[in-house]
Amino acid sequence: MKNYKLIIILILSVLFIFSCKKDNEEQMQIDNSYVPTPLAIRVPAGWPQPVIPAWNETTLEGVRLGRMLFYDPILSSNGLSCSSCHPQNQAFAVPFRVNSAGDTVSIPPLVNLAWNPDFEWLGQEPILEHVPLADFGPEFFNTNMDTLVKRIKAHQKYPQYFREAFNINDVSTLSDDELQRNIANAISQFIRTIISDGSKFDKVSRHETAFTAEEMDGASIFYTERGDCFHCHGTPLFTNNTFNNTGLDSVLTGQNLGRYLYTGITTDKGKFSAPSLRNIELTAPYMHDSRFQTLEEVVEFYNSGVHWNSPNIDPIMTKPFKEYGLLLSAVEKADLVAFLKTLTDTTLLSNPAISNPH
Amino acid sequence: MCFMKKYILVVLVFGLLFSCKKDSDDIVPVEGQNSLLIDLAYEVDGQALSFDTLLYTNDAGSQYGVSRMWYYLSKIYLIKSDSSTVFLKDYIFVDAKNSAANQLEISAVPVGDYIGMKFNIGLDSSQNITGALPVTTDNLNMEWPVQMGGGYHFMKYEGHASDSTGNYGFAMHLGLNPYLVKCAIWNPIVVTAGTTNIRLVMNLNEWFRNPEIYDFNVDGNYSMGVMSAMIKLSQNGSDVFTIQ
Repeated sequence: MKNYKLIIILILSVLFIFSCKKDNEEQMQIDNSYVPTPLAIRVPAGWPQPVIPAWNETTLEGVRLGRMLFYDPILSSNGLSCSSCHPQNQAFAVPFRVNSAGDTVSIPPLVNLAWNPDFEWLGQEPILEHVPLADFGPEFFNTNMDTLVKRIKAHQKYPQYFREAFNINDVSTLSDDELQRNIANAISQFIRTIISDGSKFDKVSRHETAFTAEEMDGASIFYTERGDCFHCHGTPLFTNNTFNNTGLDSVLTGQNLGRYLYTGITTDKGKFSAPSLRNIELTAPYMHDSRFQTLEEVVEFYNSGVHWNSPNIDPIMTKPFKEYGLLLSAVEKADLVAFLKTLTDTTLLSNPAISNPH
Repeated sequence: MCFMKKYILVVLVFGLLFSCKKDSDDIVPVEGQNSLLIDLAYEVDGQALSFDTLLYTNDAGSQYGVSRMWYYLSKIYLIKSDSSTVFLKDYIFVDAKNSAANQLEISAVPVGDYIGMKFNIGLDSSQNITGALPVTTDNLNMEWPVQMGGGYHFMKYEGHASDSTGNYGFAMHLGLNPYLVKCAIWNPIVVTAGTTNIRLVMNLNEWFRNPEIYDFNVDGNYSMGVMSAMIKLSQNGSDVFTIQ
């Protein structure tokens, strides 16, 4: 009987000691873990909250690592870095590139992406962190992962930066996939800090300066039924992140099939993501396939070149009274371009906080 | 010694029973704090809405499919038999494609029998002012430019249509204070203790009929800035919702 009681006491004692063990263990692990310094993305007045995944929150150390990697050809076997196609002095975009299918593709600028719900012209990627992963492939960096690991380990700063950003002591302990994902996470954290809100338009909004008469007239065309630009390019981000067929072509083939190539939905044929118009003056040529060389050509397309018979054309393009185009005069077209140029943010081009740290 | 063992045993048993008490506390319902769960659903004449397919036919004979239904519901009330009202919600933005936006839970609704509910599709003049709503992506996307008077779109109902004139898109945009859609649904609602579920269903074909047939080829495939089109939509909108 005594032994029986002793056994019960022992069992209960063990249960007592371990009944809350899990919580205590988790607490101890958290207490012992290194935690990088949280960094709040700056939200300009009048802008909505940015979209940031909980699993890759922005930190000082993550952004520092991402900025280093963004400008570093260490990631590639061909001398390319992210900044090769997204240079700061061109608003983080280059004119165009020809992809492996032989199509000329416009490269969207990496600006204000913290507010984008999806990415690429077809909106096929909803997570920013997934976008850089494609760059390790043969079409871009053609990365040799063994070489990359050796380069990072031998680097003067990267081992410390990886440790402080992600608590990774030795990158060679990661699989290729894990290393690529950590690099993409860091670069995405940095990209979210590339914010453009220093244009004349922003200064006018803050009552620091005023539009010229021409810019004011252009704004009037932009924001009314006259030009009807605002439906897809609304303030303050100058995109509403929708997909639209603006009637670029009457017959849709190849890459001009647009979002349909991703969704397979017939009514998505010809639709592309509405790009932000911020810094549009700096990111010629225009449209998904870089077909227009100047803003004047773009405005003329909307004024007189829309193909009404394009499948799934957006109804905004074919609304009543637009049967003969926008019917803008030469002066009105110039005014609209003048307004678009007020979206140029020259401070972005030289902001030292997002420049090459090497 | 035996007493000591019994003492330890009692202490350990109590320790075991209460050591994790905090985690296992039950939530005790508070009397009178009842929830009303409103599910917003979409159909076309009894057929559940499927986006982006040319499945439906309006009364004017055009086939159509729906690509977007964004709208505000505002000033939502339950109505009692003595005509008094119980306030439920000031406003919500709804994207019909986003399932999370289509569930509205309202707490602390008094238990009782109601004879119906009323609400607006859109925002009344007190809220239809640029900047009246919080700065969110949804609200920004519904803004009407200050150059055009400011405020917000009440609804953006968009899609594609096909008929003898060809294939084309349509955008039924509604806004401006005179075209606020006022809805009253006279349908018994019994709020019981705990959670009461109701299903508020929008029939998208009702925007195109009753009292006026809306014909894309006559009234236009685009309504914004076209007062005659917005008047029709506003009138037709008052019975697009039913409780099922």
